Amino acid sequence: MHESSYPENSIAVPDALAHLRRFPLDGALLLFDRDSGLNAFCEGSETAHLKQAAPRVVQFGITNSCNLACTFCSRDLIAKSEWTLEQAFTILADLAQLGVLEVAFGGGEPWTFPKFAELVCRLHDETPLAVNFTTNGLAMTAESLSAIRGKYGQLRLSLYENNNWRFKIRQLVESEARFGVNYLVTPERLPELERTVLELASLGCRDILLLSYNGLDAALHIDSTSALGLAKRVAVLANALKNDCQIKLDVCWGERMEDVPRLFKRNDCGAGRDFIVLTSDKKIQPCSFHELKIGVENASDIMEIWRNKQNELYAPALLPGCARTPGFGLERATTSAY
Amino acid sequence: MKIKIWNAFASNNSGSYTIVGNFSTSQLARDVATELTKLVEAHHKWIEACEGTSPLSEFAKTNGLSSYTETKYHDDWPESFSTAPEVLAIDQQVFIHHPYVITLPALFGQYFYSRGGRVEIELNHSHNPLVASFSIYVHHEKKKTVDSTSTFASILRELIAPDGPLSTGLANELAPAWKIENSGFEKLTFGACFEDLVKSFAAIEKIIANYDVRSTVQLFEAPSEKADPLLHLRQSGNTVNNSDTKTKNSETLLDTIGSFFESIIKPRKM
Repeated sequence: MHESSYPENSIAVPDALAHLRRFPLDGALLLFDRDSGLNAFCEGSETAHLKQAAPRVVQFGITNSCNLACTFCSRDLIAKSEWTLEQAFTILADLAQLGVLEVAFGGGEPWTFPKFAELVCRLHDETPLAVNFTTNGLAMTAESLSAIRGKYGQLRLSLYENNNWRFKIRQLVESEARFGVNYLVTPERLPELERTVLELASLGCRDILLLSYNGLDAALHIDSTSALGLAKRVAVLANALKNDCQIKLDVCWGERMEDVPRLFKRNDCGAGRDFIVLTSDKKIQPCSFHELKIGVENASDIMEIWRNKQNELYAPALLPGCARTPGFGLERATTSAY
Repeated sequence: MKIKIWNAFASNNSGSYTIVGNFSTSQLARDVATELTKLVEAHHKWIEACEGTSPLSEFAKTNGLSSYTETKYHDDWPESFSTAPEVLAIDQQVFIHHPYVITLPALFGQYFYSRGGRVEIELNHSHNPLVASFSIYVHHEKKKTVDSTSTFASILRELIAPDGPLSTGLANELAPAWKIENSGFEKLTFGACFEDLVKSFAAIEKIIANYDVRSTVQLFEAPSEKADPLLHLRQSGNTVNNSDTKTKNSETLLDTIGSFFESIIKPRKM
């Protein structure tokens, strides 16, 4: 199909936004600039006829290999990576052609995937995708950062007790990398939240994503009473740091974070619809915590499942912590999973 | 057509949405955007050399806005190696955007209002001061080797020294307050409203790092502009505090604290 025949391309938008990539949503139009991360959500009678034609984001667990062994990690460590660089590039390039805007690599640790920097650069140079990745930073050096400079949208550093994150953040700041930090909020970490966030901001971090735990270990879940208090604290933190640092919330918090001001009021996390997960063993999932896994060979397989398996893809995950499950399924969490 | 603009990249940990978005409305949007584009570009050039009065300061003066003073590290503006903020006129809206800056100086918002427009934000806007409260304590495993009372005294001396973080960089008339609990769970708690929370935090942490103690921070919005949000730290009891802070200078306070600690350290039971 010729580009001009896509209905979203005939909608007039202000000149200042005309160069952005277009992504149709149901009844709306999203414009996106992969170089800056600028998103413009347009909605009106002009966009009423539009229908979403592809997931906006592919989360790609390209390898399960990791140089850490965190107890809370959801990945299936037995599953080996079945991707070659060429296969990964091809499927992502094809998905970009079908409308996908962004890929977010995770894993495992993406830097343990052979020639990861080369894959990032090729995707940037040869496709319109925004390329993002989450890393523990241990295998990422000043040289590797330099190799992908200007080729990625944002990298996210996971904060663990054992990944020397203060050093890594200083390295990222010195390298002028565009980065954010992912921080898993657990009951044990709750008293330290403000202190940690302030320290991150003072180190030069400008973007902090607070993650909720998904898994069987009850000791790592925030109960609803604590969540209420946490939401108030996060709102104050976001306000206090509004000149310094963005505080973001992982979608799995769901209504537990109702008190925190959001850009959009959303009732659903978007798993299986807004984003899908591609695993290291060539399967897709609605999200990385979901038990549903369907094998795929190519981009057409992915799109067929995305279009035709909506009931399965939109179903809540069994793992405790899912925002689609009433009460987040916390009663299924055990006292200690490990 | 309504347009909402924000800045975000996808992450591997599901999507995330938050805050961001400054808009004004009026037929003047295009003119305002043109004026602000020139201002932003001029100020961004100025940032590189930082010589003379800044364009933002001049602009504030010319347009009768609250005076604008650059912060020491220009942390309310993108780094000079980065691009200048982008100003877009979109229909009746004016949007000022930069990927690394969430909110630019308040001057822009003031200017929107002065030109008959308005600012729309998603964040709950706080009108009351934001208060930071720090608690310092000795980890239970260290209690045999670290004398908490004298440690707290030393920390407090550094905090309230004339160039210390509880003497400089305070946001308003509210004096800092502190309290040392020396029975049961011993801890030093102090609070203040800081002009630049992150910078003050870094200064406080630098002091604390020299001692074998742990710290936590709480942030809260003062219940009103007039009520003292740190009253609980100024109450007397089994504590030393700075209830007379507003009438005493730092040196007098240091003397007071010194006397207090001498009195409680000497009869300490072993």
